Amino acid sequence: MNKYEFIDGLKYKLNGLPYEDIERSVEYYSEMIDDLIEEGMSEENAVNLLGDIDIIAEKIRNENMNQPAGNTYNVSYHTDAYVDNSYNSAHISEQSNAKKHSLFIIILILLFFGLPVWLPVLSGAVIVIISVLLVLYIISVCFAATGVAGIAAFIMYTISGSLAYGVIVAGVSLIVLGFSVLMFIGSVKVTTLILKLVALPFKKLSKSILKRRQTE
Amino acid sequence: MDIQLKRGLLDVCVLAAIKNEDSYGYKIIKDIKPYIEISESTLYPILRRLEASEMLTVYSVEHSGRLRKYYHITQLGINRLEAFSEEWLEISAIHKFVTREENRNE
Repeated sequence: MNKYEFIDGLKYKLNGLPYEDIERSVEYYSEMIDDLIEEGMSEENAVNLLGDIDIIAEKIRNENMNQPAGNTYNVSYHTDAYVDNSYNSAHISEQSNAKKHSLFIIILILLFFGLPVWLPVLSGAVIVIISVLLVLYIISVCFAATGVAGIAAFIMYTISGSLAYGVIVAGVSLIVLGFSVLMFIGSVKVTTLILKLVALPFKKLSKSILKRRQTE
Repeated sequence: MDIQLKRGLLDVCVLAAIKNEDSYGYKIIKDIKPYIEISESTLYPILRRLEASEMLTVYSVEHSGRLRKYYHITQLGINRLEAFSEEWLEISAIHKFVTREENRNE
C-alpha cells in the first residue's frame, strides 16, 4: 500500500467525524510517512509500520469520544479514565436535559396558542362525560324509587285484601330494586375508572417534574 | 505495564520531549522510544488530548517543500511536568511500602 492509498483508506474509515478532525489526522499521518521516508525507509515500509488502518481509525475515534469540547476537559485531566467517563456521561445528560427543557417550552407555547381549539373540545368532552355519568346515576335512582313505590303498593294491596296482586307487585319491585343496586355499583365503577384515567397524565407530569428537581 | 498508568506516563513523556525544544511527531517518537513503548498511532491521540487541554500548542513549519507540525509546551504543560515530579515522590513512597510488605511475608 502506498501513502495515498493509506490516506484514502484512513479518510474513508474516519467518515462521520468532524471535517477538521479528519483533516488533522490525515495531516499527522501524511507528515509521519514523509518523515519516515526521509529517514531512509521505503514508502511501502513506512505505511506498513503505521499498522492497520482499522486500529488507527478506532484510536482516533476513541479519543474523539473522550474529548468534550473546550477547556472543560482540564477539570478531569489529572484524574483517571473512570472519572473522565463519568464526566462525559454527566455532560451528555446535561445536553439531553437541555433538549428536554426546550421541548417542554415548545409544548407550553403550542398549548397556549392552541387554546381556542383544544379548550372548547376539552370542555365539551368533560361535559359529555359528566352528563353520561349523571344519567347513569339518575336511572339507578329512578329504579330505586320505582322499587320503593312498588313495595309501598304491595303493602297497600295486602291491606286492601288482594294479596295475589300484592305479591306480583312486590316481586317486580324487588327485581327493579336489585337492578338499581347493580346499576349504582356499575356507575360508581365507571366513575372511578374515568377519574383514574383523568388523573394519569397529571401523575406522570408531577413525577417528571419531581425527577427533574432531583436531577437539578 | 498497567494501561491507566501507561496512559498517564505517555502524556508526561510527550510533554518532556518538547520541554526544552519544540519538536515534531516523528522526533518525539524517536526521543521517547528508549524509555517507553510508543507507536505512531498512539502518539496522535495523545497530542490531540494535550492540545485540547491546552498543555501544548501546534504550529506548522515548512520543511523540504511540505508542512511539518511542531508542538510547543505551554505553562499548563510545564505545570503538569512539575506536578508529575511531586506525584512521583508519592509513588516512590508507595513503592517502598509495597516492597516492604513483600519482605515481611518472606
